[in-house]
Order: sequence, then C-alpha cells, then structure tokens
Amino acid sequence: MRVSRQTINAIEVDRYTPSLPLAIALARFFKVSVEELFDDGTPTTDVE
Amino acid sequence: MMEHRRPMSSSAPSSFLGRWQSWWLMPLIYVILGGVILTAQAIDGQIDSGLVWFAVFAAIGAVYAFGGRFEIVKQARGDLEDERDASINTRAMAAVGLVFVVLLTGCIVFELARGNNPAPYTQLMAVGGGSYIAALLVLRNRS
Repeated sequence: MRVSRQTINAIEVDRYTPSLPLAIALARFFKVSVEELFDDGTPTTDVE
Repeated sequence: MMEHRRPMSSSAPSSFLGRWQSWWLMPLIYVILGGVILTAQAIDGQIDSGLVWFAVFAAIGAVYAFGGRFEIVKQARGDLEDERDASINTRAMAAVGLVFVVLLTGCIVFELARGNNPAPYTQLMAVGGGSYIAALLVLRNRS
C-alpha cells in the first residue's frame, strides 16, 4: 500500500484525512466499506 | 468499477531511479553551490570567506547525504514515502513563499523609509508575483 506508519498513526488520531484512493485501499485491506472504516458516529439524515 | 490506484502523490518518487536521484542530487547541488561561491569569493580575493561558505554548504550536503535515518532529512531531500509526506512538503514550500513575501515587503518598506531605491527587492517581489500567477494559470489549466 506504500503508506508510512506515521501516516497511519495520523489517520487514527484524526490528524490527517486520507485521499479517496488511500481510503478505498485501506477499506479493501480490512475488507470493510469506506463508511464503516471512517465512520465518525455522525447520524446520517435521509434525503427526501 | 473504479480502477485501483496507488495512494501516492504524483510528486513522490515511485521508481528506484527517483529514490537514487534524491540521495545524491541534493548533496551534489549544495557542493556545486559551495564551489560557485568559493570561486566567486576567490576571484574577489576573499578565499578565506569562500572556504567558510564552501564548508557550510558541504556540511549541509553531508547532512542530506548521510542523515537519512532522520525523518526530517528524508522529507527535506524528497524521499517522500506517501501522500501525507507530499502534502506536508507542498505546504512547507507554500510557507517558504509566504515568508519570502513578508521579508521582501519588509525590506521594501525599510528602504523606502530610508529614502533609498528599494531595488532589487521590488524586482524580486515582481518575479515572485509573476511566478505565482503563472503557476495558477498552469495548474488551473491542468486540473
């Protein structure tokens, strides 16, 4: 994946927001969706 | 289906040649700069001062060449590992630009206050401003 340990640490403590390709690559690595991996607990609202 | 792309900035050296170039290129540039300054000072008859400058530049080149175990040196010489390093590098360069704009503005104001011609600070500021506009045009056209 060519991502440094420092970058992963920064993502985990919300100091860095990954790009979309990186976010997708991380989600695929952990075999989850991007939403599950980066869910911050904010409730979603239905679009009417 | 979205094509899987490597999550690295386009500015990061992804090839072996790119990484090798970053190892020796910056030290070589600093040694050459030191040599140019030494030559200029020697022509002016100030060899001692020129040797001091050469030593300073050679020391900086040595730090670039052999300080690779330190993350800040790796980042400074362009051994970008990933997109975050590339982003940090870009923002650091922007900070350099801001510092120079503030510094040149101060120098222009200082010279004007003394009743002197603010050249060459005004020319430097003009080159900086023109470069910024040109960069905006190129980057907006590309993206």
